[in-house]
Amino acid sequence: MDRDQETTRDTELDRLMQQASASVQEALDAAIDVQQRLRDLLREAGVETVPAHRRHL
Amino acid sequence: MTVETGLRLSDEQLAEFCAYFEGDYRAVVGLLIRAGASLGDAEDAAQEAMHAALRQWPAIGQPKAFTRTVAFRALYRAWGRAKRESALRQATRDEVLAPFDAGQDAGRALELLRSLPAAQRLVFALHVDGYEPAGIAEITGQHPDTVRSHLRHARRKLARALGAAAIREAATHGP
Repeated sequence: MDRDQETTRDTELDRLMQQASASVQEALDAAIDVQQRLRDLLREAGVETVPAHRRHL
Repeated sequence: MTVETGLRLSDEQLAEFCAYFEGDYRAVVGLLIRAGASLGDAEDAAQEAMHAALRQWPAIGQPKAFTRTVAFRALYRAWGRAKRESALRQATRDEVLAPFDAGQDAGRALELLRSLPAAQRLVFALHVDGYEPAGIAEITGQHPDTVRSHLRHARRKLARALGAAAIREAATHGP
């Protein structure tokens, strides 16, 4: 395999893996409640007060 | 106002952290999954990293690099506790790849990525996220040349496993 072929292969491989990565992120968007995780983290850290604009959390 | 938790964060700093968490938490979990973690292990490691980031927030210059460094360390500790990696891999494969059709390109690509040795998997996962070798080296604590070597070996193995035609087809048409 010459240099050009190798570069093309690497580019296509990267694109394929980025597509796979995007699929994982889409699945996680549905699976993970980020607001809940943030509330859990703040509670575990002992943060009782949150910024005014985030008091809906 | 200062938050009375021992963290000594101002309202503004806490708001900054919350915005960062909301924007990056899922990305960290996704990165760890691509690096071979189960969803549960990935979330545990991401939470530990975010907790560390919260505690040190005023001193952190690059939150993304910081959380990824801490998260990978936490993940390696979790893996160190696992009795056998083969058992871990099977469990994580079942859990993480379940949402994907095994016949689809994305599912197959993920499965192949997770078949790489841990060091190559980690480096390649960061590479896919857009990190250059120097940035990966900073996160993993490796020399940049070592990172490039892992990346080169990972690409060869993935290309061999997938086949040139399959890579071209999948990359062109997408999942």
